[in-house]
Amino acid sequence: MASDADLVLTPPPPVAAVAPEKAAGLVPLDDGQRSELQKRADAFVSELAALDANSPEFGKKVDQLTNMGRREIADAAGHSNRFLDRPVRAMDKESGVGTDLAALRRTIEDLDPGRQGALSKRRFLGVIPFGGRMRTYFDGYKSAQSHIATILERLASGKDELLKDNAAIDVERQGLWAAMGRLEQMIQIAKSLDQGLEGKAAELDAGDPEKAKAIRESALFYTRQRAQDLLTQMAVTVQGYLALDLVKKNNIELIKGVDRASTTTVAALKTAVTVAQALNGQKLVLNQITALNTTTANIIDSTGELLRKQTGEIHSQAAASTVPVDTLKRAFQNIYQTMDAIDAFKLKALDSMKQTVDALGAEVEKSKGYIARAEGAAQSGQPAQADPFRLAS
Amino acid sequence: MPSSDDIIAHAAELLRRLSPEARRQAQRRRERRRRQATRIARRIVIAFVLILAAVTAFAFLIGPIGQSGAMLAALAFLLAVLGIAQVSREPDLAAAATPNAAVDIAALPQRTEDWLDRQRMALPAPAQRPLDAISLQLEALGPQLATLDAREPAAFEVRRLLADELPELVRNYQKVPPALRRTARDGAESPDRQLVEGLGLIGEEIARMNERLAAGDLAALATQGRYLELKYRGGEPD
Repeated sequence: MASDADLVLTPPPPVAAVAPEKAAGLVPLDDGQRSELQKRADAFVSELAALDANSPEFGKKVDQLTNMGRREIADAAGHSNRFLDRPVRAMDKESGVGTDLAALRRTIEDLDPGRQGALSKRRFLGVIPFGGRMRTYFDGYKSAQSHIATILERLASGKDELLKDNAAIDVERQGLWAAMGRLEQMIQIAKSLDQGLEGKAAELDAGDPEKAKAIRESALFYTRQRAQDLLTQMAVTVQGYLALDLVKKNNIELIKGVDRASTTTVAALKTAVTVAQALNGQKLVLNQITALNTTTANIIDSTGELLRKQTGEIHSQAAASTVPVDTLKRAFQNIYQTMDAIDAFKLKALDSMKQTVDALGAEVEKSKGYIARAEGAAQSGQPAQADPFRLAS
Repeated sequence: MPSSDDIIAHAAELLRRLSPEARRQAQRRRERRRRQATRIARRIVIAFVLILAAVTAFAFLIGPIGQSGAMLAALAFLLAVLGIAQVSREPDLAAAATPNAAVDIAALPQRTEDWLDRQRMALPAPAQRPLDAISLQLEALGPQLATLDAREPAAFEVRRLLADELPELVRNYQKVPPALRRTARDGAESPDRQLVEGLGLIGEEIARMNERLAAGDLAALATQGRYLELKYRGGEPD
């Protein structure tokens, strides 16, 4: 039975910190890029080795190393500043949906046949006085319907907000992926330079120890420093990329929950209409809910499908059942189950989101130190030079 | 007899004038000149009408103006025309002032462009091309800055580049005696070359600022598109 298919909302596990050593290589580079980068690194090393270690040209070349990947780092850092507040905002948005769900729950509880007591008595006291109470009970739906319709509309727009959030995350992740690709290129070239310089210095040790020393102390030193900066930024960016995925998955689960809560509510109300008809021939007209139902069904096809199936079953059950009130009770049970599932999900999701934000925040703080250093180096040095290591892309 | 260098320089200059940037530049200059001419003409007409009205009023209220009166009126008109011509050039004179920190951020690109235009003649031929590029980028930058809060870091960067770094480069170049501008010395490039490279970097940086400022709008558009896709097509596009 479709309505009994348990709603399982699984919060994705929190994103752990990514170690800088493991950050490289997550974004694949194609072979063409790889060999091009290698070529540039080789050319740079041989040009540097050909220069006099004390000449200003040598100094200029080394400056290029200190500037290496500066823009890539700044670019990725700009992204990370933006995505840090996204999980936090997502938590806010969840609480918005949460308020609506709580309001829905309160309204639904007022209508719950299990709490009213009237309907259960009706079954064994088939005597006239209670018919009036029945009528009053179903009249409660009429007065509640506009309120419920409002809440459902709010939930629908809350869902749209979540969808928009996910769309923004998709766009952001696309940008991040590109930024990560550029960082990866820089990391790749830093590694090649490291190897090349190391080899060159070893080669020069015998013939020109002075130059070997200069290469080790300036060029190689800066290359390693830059490589560390690049890796740190990469780690943060990867982590942010994963965190965004977490937020997106959370949103998807929450959207599922909201859909299901709306569906079960509408189903319960429709059941009430049928039961009222079956029990005491009362014509219960819930225009607003019916109207809402159509729009909901139009928006989400799957939900519409589910709803159609459910209501079809409910109708046949209510009509055939000797105890229609049980059907109504079950419909309410469905709503409660959905809401409980959402509540449990939100608790867990909030927890893993908090862990993720904390881990990410700590890493971003760490990387800010590196970025500040990089910026300082850039400002104290020459006016920004074109980075010779950047592949035109 | 022209040397091959001269011929090459001449050809480069011709190419530059034919480039789309330069043509757009020339078009904008023509437009500006036309706007100015219209403004002056309108003011002259107004002055003429006013003087005529004053003369008529005088004739009605006091008496015939006589020959000297007519002469006076003609003189007044002449003075008015001269004055108008002088005053109407004023925006240009103001524009010639270096763009500085006091200029409103939204007006800064226009001001810088005007200023650069005035400096053009004093700068060497190879610098014209980067100048064209800068002018074009500034034209695109203007509308983007209109909505930017002056306290944002991006605004600060734009201001520093346009109001400090660019004028400083040009001023430093202009301080170099013309005789020394073409020759390289002490292993460094010639001042001409240095200026061209500096201007090129500034042009690139403005282009990058343009991109950065547009990033928000680009992302918003992409987000809306993706949202519609998620909502009405459901999940991944197929």
